[in-house]
Amino acid sequence: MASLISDIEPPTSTTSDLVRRKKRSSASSAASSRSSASSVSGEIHARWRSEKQQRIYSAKLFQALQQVRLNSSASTSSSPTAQKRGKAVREAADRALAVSARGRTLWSRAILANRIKLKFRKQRRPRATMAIPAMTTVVSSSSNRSRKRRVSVLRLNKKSIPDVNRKVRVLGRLVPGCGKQSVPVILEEATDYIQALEMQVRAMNSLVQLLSSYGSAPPPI
Amino acid sequence: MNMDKETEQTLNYLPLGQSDPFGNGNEGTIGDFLGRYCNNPQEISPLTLQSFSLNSQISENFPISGGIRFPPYPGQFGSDREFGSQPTTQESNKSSLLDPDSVSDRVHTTKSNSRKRKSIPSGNGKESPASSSLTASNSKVSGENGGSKGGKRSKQDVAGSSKNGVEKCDSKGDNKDDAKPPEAPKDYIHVRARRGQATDSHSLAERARREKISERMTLLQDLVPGCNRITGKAVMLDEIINYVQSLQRQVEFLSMKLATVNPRMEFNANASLSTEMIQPGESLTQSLYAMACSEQRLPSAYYSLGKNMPRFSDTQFPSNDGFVHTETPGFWENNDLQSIVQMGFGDILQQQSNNNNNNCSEPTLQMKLEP
Repeated sequence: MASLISDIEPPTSTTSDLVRRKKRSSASSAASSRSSASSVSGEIHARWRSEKQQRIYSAKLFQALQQVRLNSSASTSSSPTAQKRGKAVREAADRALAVSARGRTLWSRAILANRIKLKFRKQRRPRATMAIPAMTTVVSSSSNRSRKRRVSVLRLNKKSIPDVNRKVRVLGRLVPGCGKQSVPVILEEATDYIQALEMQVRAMNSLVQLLSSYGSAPPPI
Repeated sequence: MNMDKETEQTLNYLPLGQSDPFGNGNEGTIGDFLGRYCNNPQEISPLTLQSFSLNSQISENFPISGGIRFPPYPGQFGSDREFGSQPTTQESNKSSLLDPDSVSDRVHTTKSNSRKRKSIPSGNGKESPASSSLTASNSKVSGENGGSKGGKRSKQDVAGSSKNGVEKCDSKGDNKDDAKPPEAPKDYIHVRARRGQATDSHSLAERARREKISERMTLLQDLVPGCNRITGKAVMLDEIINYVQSLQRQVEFLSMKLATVNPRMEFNANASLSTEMIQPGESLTQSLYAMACSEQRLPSAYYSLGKNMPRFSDTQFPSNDGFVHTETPGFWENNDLQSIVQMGFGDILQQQSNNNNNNCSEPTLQMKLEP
């Protein structure tokens, strides 16, 4: 009888202690997460939403647009279309944004890297030596293989990935340079990219208004 | 034979109440005393002389059933009192040698009453003292008399088993209470981790990853407008994706708009070039724009090289221009930058009037420059 009673008592006490410990641990983890979240958000706001950063970006954007105008004026004989000009302006704006981000984030590095790759390809194409076409064919074949693999991976993933992860992948495709990254990295890059885009939209809006008001002046001249 | 002799002696004793020396002799011997206690229930069961004996039997039947149920406990108390009263009357009739026994019996009865009374309200907390008291009572019973109190031992055992059952029921109820509250509000089945599984390295890493993801989701929720009231992850991600796409569309639209405004600005750009040429301070900018003019003036044979050159220079120009303008920005560009800042941060009419003033000043500069 005494042995049975002693066996019954200890498990109840142990379970109650474990429950209390779990509650305490969960509370402490929640507090730590809140503190870290507040610190991170403070840093991000300090980065993108300060007046200094806005001025710096607007200056760089203005200079980039000037250069785009110079290039377009130089190539007036080739008669570029409006779409090409729009693309050029957008590329310049994105480059200025990436430069102002100073390569701290993946998307800024990805934009600059893509720009360099495009130049490399354009430089190689017009040359007409024998060795270069072999190089280009090799590059194209490798790109085709990589594309096929990507497609197959996506098809496999669509079957097994749950909805939340699928949507995070979609977000990863929208943000430059985050196509293959893990979920927390994509979310972090997306926060920074959204803030940068907001600043870019503000700066371009102000530029458009300025230029439209300034553009009305020359007709009387 | 011994049993028959003892019964005959008791029969002789009952009618001969006045024979003191025989009574004294019987009391003196311990063996005779034990025999009498053994014989008493036997006499009661076959003869059934008195109704009180029947009542006592009925009361005995009740506590057995009462051990299983809670309310019949006072029945047990009544039966104990009756048993206590009978030996006290007998002992009072007898000599004073039995006084310590009667005192011990009274203490025994009081202890039993106190045990039963305490056990009901205590529940789980006082299990060990109950067991200790039971062991003490067992030792006392064995010490005093073996045969006469066998019934009491059986009763106590029944009570102990009933107590154990009560405690088990209480423990089961506690477990059910612990399990029920989390199940009621949640629709899904809550699976608990096995022993030692919660502190496994893989589960700790997974927990850290989930915490990190939840932090990032809260930051995104703060950024995206209209996303504060949404609680589901999937819907929140949909909102975030839509917001990013809308921002990218705005950027594309604004860039096209700037491109359409651009042809009008070519003339103004030339004007800005002329102004910058006139300014003597900035040697670097002069050299850069001179390079551009030289590129424009190159003959058609070198036109392809001309195409390649600005693409190389694009990587170099922005950094150089950035450094130059951050160090020594021009007067005209300062005005433009100030107006841009004002437009960016404040949409008040007064600032618009200031911009108009700037625009008025700029054509005056152009007017001066042209002639």
